[in-house]
Amino acid sequence: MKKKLTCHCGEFEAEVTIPENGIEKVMRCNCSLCKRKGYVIGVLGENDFKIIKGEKLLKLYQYYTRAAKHYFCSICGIHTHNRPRINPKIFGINVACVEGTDPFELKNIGLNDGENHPLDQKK
Amino acid sequence: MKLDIVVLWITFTIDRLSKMRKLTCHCGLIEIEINIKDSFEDLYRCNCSMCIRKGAITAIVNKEDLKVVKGMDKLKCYQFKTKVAKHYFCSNCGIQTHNLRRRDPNTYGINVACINDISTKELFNFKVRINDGRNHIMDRQ
Repeated sequence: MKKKLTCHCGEFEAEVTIPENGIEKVMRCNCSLCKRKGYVIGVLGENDFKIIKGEKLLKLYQYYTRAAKHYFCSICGIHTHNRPRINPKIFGINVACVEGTDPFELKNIGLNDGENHPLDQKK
Repeated sequence: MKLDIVVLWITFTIDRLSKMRKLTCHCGLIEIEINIKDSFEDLYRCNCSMCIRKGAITAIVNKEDLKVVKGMDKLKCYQFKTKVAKHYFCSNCGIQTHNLRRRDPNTYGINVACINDISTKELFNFKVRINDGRNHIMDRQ
């Protein structure tokens, strides 16, 4: 089903496609950035996220390998989504920004060990 | 007598410094010092329209116990509705560092995950309550 994803001030809006039973993979991440963000991440496929308005107001933040892309609204500061380093094609979304989704009611929130990112481990 | 005052002053300063903690955004442009009198006894996530999107674990400090020591010009402030609360974030990395609280504008809510000397393990094991900001006490009749 299609749902609306918005930052707080509403200047940024995206349309996300979510399975009928809800997002399959939801998690918090303990990497240096995500732990500061604090939000619950929902993982969506590359075709499940479409920007409707406010792309110009989005600010991109990158660091370290600069493979991941982290986006936030430059007006209200809400981090809305990211393209993760592990697979920059897919989307990590802030589930609290999706209409009708209450992160406090979600079950099975996993913990992503971003602090020990798989791409940083020696083989 | 004079010596007593000096000793008292030194004790006071050491005590104060030992409670000083540093808070940083992710990119490091913003640096904040906080003076926490108690340990983190009341930690919460709030479910209001703004905080639910932030997702941050919050602790309360008195206004005079928080000082932005670096990057004041990089902080952006966001306000809405009654415009009493002030939500501050780093304009470069977007991390929400602290907010002046509507409930008591003499206090700040701080993003606990930004405190440098809290380990990730410690952070994820904190007991965190939910604050019902969605039904804000000042909006109730």
